[in-house]
Amino acid sequence: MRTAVIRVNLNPAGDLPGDRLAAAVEDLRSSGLEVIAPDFLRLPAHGREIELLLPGEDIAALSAWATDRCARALGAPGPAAGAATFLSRGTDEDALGVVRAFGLTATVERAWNSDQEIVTITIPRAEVHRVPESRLQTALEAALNAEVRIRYV
Amino acid sequence: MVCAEDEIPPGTHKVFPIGRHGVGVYNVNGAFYAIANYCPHEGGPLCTGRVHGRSVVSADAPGGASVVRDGEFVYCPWHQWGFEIATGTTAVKPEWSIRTYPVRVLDHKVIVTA
Repeated sequence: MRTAVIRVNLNPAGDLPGDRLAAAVEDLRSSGLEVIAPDFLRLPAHGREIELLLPGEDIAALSAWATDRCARALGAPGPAAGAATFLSRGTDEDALGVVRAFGLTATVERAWNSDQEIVTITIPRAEVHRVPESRLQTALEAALNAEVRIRYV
Repeated sequence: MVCAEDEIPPGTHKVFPIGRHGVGVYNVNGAFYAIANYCPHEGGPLCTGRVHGRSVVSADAPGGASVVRDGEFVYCPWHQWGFEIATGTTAVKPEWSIRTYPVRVLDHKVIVTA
């Protein structure tokens, strides 16, 4: 399963003190959630955003859950979801997720040549008309840190 | 194990030959992170780029913007695309995810798990 990075602005109105936001982050962490949080005192009051690392791929559902959970931790309504991204640990699911983000489907095969991993991504030729191959190639190489070969069928 | 903990003091990093493009191991305020040395934009050597914060709108600051979370983002030297070191992602291009690796410190040794 992929890991989503869900960004949540804890207090878009900017009317809550930093120590209350810090206490909410501690509450989230103490419940086992992985949270990336900045030093709130060094951020503009309206832009105090944290990131929750959550397993799953349904961004809408994860964002809704995260904002609700943050509101409960804060004891006040108002947290707003921001952009969502995905971590890559170089798995097949991560590769397929990158391909899907370009609007494509694919299959993934892995092989080793000496000590170098080679990942072959097979894509239906009919789907690739509007996707520059170089963009897909660099996105996949970054997500996998392996040699990527794109094949069309 | 890639190196001793004190070889990467806070605010610094080192690149190790892991995977096709190498991996940069960063010490961000005492927390270690590892990210592939490859920019998803055009394949630049990401980990040779500068480490900085990110700019946000800040009405009270001179110029209407300020830099926050200093030291938590790396910028590719080719075209200045910036990525959060902890997650290997950028909110600007959600389809891009740079491979990151779990890092732990054990007996003052930095261990990257591939």
